[in-house]
Amino acid sequence: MWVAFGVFGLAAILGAWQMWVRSPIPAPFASPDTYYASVTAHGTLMAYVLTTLFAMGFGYYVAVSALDRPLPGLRYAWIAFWMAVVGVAMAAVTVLLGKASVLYTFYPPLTGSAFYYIGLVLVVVASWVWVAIMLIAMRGWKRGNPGKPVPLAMFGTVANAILWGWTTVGVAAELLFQVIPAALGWTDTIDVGLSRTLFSWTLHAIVYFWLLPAYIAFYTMVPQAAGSRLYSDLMGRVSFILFLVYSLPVGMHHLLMDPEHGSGFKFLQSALTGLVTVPTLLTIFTITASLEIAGRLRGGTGLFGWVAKLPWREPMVLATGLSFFMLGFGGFGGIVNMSYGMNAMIHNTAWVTAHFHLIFGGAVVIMYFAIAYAIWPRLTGHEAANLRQVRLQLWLWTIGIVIVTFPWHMLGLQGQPRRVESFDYSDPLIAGWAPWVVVSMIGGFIMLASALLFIWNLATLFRGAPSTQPTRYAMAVHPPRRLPPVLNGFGMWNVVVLVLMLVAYGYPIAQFFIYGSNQALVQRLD
Amino acid sequence: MSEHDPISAPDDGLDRELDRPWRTWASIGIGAFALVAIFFGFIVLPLAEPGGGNFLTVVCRALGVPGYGDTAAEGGGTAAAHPASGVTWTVATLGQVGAGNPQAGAQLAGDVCAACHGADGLGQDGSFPRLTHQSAEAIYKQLQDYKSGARLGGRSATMAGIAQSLTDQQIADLAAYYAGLGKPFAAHPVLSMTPSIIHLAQQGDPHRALPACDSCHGDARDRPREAPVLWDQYSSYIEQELQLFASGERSNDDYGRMRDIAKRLTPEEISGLAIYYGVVGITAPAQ
Repeated sequence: MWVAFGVFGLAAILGAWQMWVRSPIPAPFASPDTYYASVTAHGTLMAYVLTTLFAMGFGYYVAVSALDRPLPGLRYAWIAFWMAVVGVAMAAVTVLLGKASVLYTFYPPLTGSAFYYIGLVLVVVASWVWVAIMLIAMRGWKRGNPGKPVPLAMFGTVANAILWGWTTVGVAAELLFQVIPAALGWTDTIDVGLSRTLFSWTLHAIVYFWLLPAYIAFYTMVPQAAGSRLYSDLMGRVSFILFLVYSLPVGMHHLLMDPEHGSGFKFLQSALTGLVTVPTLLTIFTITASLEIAGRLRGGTGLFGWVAKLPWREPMVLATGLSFFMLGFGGFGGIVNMSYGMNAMIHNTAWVTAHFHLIFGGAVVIMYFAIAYAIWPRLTGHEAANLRQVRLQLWLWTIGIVIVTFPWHMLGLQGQPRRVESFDYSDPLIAGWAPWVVVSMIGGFIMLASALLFIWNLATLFRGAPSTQPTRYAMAVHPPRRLPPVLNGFGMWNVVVLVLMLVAYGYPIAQFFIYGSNQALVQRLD
Repeated sequence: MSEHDPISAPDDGLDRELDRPWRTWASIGIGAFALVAIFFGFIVLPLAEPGGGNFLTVVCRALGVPGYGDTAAEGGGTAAAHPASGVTWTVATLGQVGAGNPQAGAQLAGDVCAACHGADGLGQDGSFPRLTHQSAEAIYKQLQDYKSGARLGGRSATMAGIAQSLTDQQIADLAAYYAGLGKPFAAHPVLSMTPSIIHLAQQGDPHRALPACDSCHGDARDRPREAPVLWDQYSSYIEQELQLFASGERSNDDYGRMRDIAKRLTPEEISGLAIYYGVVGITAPAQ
């Protein structure tokens, strides 16, 4: 967790600096080389390192606390951790030396130093160890508790582990069979269409891998923190299963403007993408209902009177409220991105950046904060001395992300490209962008302040009363006694994923082998 | 990837009974949605699109089968691209350049090139460019462009005649010979140069969408292989070619990149950059 949040702090600094470079105000150290190295580092650290290490750490925590059993394979977990640390160091140093400014989405036929990719592969392999340990932990618990429902927190965690196993297949194939041989100089050409297709396999499912820890907190920690019960355990299970099933055969909506696939597959995958709104709406309904129970128990009345009565002083409840706010705006923006027709308006503009910063940087990462605040007392043995600084940090983060991303949405609609280092604001066509870029830069610095405060809080706040309570996950209003095995395991759902992946990606990948491939010359950047 | 449920539940019959409706309805729901999406994506919508053709053509187009002219997949428009240069950088082209024989090239250079470019490839005065320390790809591309008529301006009439007398193999031989002449020149400090010119060369001017000259013509490993090195070329030659690009008379640059850049440079910047990179022409000592 410390490694995850450490790189988070570093990447937050880079993110704020990048907005400074894009703005009309001269920034220190600004040049295209430093900008692209920085964008690569920011994306790699935030999207791959923070998330993977956080998910692994949180998964281990849930496995021990929800199952109330020691972690199987603890030694392998530590080996995997150090392997990930070595991988992060390899990738980060390579990027910061300017040897792999290929952005975190890789963009072949550009290739950076092989150390960058091999470092990332180490992180992925380490996470596979975590996947195995999660599966073994759940199986061990089931053996010891035949017929009993797996605790929802663990069910969600294993759903995420299985999702991650499926997710990484695409990018692992791209790196191992295409990019790393090119980076090492073994091959001079690369089939860009195939590598983009393989990356799209990973690119959307990875988003749900980032997201699911937040959803696990929604279902199992938020009702407890609000002094309530979970409205429906069944909805939680169905949501986790739907995320597993519908985050994979949908990645082609990242390729809507790409020429290598037929329109039918793009339509099919766009349609399947639309279904991820279902578990999202189920979750919002279920968690809102759970919170309504809390509000009414605390004396709230009327249609919305219970909202005011909620214990907003609790960081977990506050974070959920703020997260839902950001999820709402980000979600609607995302529906534009995934729509075959509408995507063309905002393709590769600041709109896209705005969408995933609002959903991931906002709605999801704020729940990472809340989870960290919730489990830190158990890890350090001390409660937080005060919660005021915690709430301030959560508010600052939300205000910052709104100020950053709302202008980006507007600029994206006006066509401002993302991932561009500087603009000629003297051109009357785009002079109007300048003030909004400055506004979002200010938001970036507010987020940076919040990020640093978060690390400061974790380091200094937990010096209060000794923490003695064990971790409690929310009880359901009607706790399940006996579940159909399909809702208590993933055997059937793995088959469903396999079938859908064959339908959605089978031909699009096979065509590169059926018709022969178009090779592009590798362009080395190291 | 697969995960087996431990079948240790106390009552397997009850489990199966609990499972049945979930398995059935989940499969039906998921399958039905996918089938509807497939029906619309591969049949209904493609049939409604302009483009026409029989049923099989339309479905194959939606699948993306090559040859069925998916408008998204194969351009579909009537505009044809007019490449600036006949040279495309494929594995085959690189193989041909790599097959150049420097000994044969040396012989040929002595017979054909030395009269103007000097026996050592260093040119005779400012109007004949230096050919040493260029990559084989750079020499190869320029000779091919003279041969095909893609490169105009300057002494292109003379060069076209010479290049047309050369085979592809002879061009590769010459490229290999000149690439092996002299070691790459290192950047040298230019003491009295205006800072804005140095900045333009090293950092570009992103606000005018001008990339750094060094990003393609410097000594970085990742630069395009066919981009010529500018260090220690004759200043007068660099200036002349930038002016030809700016006027559009020389147009063998892929995607019009150099024409775009040169057009946006002021005359002072053109001469400043020529001095920054180049050397002043001198008449080579008589052989």
